[in-house]
Amino acid sequence: MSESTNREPLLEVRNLKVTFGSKRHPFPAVNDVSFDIYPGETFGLVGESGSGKTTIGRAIIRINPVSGGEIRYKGQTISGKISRELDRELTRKIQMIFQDPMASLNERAKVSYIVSEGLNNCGHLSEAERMRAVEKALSDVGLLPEFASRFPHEFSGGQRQRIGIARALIMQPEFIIADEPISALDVSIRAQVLNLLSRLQKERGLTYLFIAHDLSVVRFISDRIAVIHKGVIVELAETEQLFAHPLHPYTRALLSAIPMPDPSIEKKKQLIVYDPGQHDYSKEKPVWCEIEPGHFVLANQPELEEYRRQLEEKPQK
Amino acid sequence: MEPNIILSVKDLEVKFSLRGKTLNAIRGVSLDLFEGESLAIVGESGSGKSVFVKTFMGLLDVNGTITGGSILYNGQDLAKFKTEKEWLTVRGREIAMVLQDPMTSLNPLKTIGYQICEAIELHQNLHGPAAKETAIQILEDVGISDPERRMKQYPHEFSGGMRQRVVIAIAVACRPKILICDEPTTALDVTIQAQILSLLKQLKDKYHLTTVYITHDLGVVAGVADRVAVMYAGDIVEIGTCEEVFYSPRHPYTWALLSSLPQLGTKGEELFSIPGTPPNLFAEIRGDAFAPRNPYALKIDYVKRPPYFTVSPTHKARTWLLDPRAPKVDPPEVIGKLRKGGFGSV
Repeated sequence: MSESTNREPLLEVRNLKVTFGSKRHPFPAVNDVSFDIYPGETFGLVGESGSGKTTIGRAIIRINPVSGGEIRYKGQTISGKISRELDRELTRKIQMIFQDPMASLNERAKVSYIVSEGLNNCGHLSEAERMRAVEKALSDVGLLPEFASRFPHEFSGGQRQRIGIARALIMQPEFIIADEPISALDVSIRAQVLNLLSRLQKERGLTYLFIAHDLSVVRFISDRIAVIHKGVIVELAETEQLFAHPLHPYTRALLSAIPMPDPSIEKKKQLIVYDPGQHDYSKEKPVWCEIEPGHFVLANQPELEEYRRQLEEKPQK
Repeated sequence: MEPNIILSVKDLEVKFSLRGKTLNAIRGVSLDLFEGESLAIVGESGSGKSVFVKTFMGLLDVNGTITGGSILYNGQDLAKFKTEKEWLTVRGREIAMVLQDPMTSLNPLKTIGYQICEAIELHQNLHGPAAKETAIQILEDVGISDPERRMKQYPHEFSGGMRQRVVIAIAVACRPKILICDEPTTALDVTIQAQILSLLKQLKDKYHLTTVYITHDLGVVAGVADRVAVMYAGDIVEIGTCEEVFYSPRHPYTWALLSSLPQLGTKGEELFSIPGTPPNLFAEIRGDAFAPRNPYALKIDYVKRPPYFTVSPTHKARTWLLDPRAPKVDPPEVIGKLRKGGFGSV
């Protein structure tokens, strides 16, 4: 995605900080995170549980208050206090798809209500218009229009996740945050949902922030990937670059943990375990820097030199 | 050298009665489990893989019954067991199980030490300090550091991966012959998943266990299984050694499962997905259960259930495509890619 560098970013996150806990015992969940997301791309955010990847997603849609830094959407600041009109506009333009389709749908509401609930916030629609919108959204995600009068428990996991996607689509968003949309699904259904997401992206030019813990899935769908560890992004690169030349030891550990459906590779695989103590940051603090175009890594000077050497040694693809 | 058969299942049938209707969960499954091997059972949710192994331990829900076939273990037919007393001679002691979700399989009100000692006292006749010592030993074996202090802690003080280690410790504490792992890593992160799988491999060697893995993700079992059985709609459709199933799968369902893995997909292209939904097991299934979703289905697939065709002494598959009269069908391209090992630079 070399062309993405000269385009205007859709979303800019600058030195984002999110802190939980009381003033006396603050817990920084996200610490000094910066990245850009360009229009039309899929940006993967990968990390283990507790690394703060969901917190970033929630900070963008203004569920979690930001305690430092800022988030800009199309050049406008959207973190902190913003005007009511902007807030309303953002609710429409930025939508979210959740992880567990069993928990994220209201069990007591019909599909038509679940899908169209967001519309109530933006202007009045007649009943007929509402139903038309619901039917359109359902057929966009490959469900039958008559499903609108059913309840969520009548559907399988994959169908429920489609309902979750329809709920996001009905608002005609520009930007969708997909928070582990497939980790609760079976392998065969994962493929369906992944295909649906990439088809929708092509048709509507959507931009995704795809949050997951499984690098193999993220590799399949993302253009660029950021690896986050303990609230700090440690490496960011284009997908193939990251897989071909991982630099940060944590990225390597994550890559080595991907299960491969190949017995001979898998049986002699060496698992890399990441130990944060391996960095010597006593003399020099690590900084976030661009080691080659589009490839960022968190390192201090001695490490940077080491990484540069590694990059030169490896033949470029 | 012929390995010993430790557990032998013959024509097992399990039915559930649900709201007056009968659901055929297991439809005549035969399987021999060899001593010391590790077998993986793979299938979609609802394929009956969990129900199948639950019959080994008498853990079927009350509305489920074994209606035919036998499960031979140690000269006893487990399918004939009725009372809880009979089951207690096998459950935990001979065959133990690790469940999917470590959050729900531990008692939140008791310390870890108590829960492990409970199993040891029950099955090994060790009490007091002796039981405690064994518990510490086992906790060390499953990779929990500082076991003496950790023994006094409660499950909420452990992370997900650590909890799963504790659950494994409890299962192994009874010194079982067979360890069944029902989706042991589905609830865990990828990094932790890899660690737990390598732990299970170590324990298998150390305690001479026979392990059975149940999973929906073929990628997970490639490194741990000796043999792989693929289940669909209450039936094993293909079984073979790990290499045979991954490198030369014969059943279209196995092809479909493998090609839907995102690891094998090419970015920017459609990932293969299995069309349709699994069959309704309330109804009688005619022919091959996978036929309606199978792009390679033959006419006979809708009429007659295929028998097992032997591919090699260890590899057999239930598909008419292997009949000498069937047209020759090549597996999808992705699977050839797998055979050459020509994917993934990792």
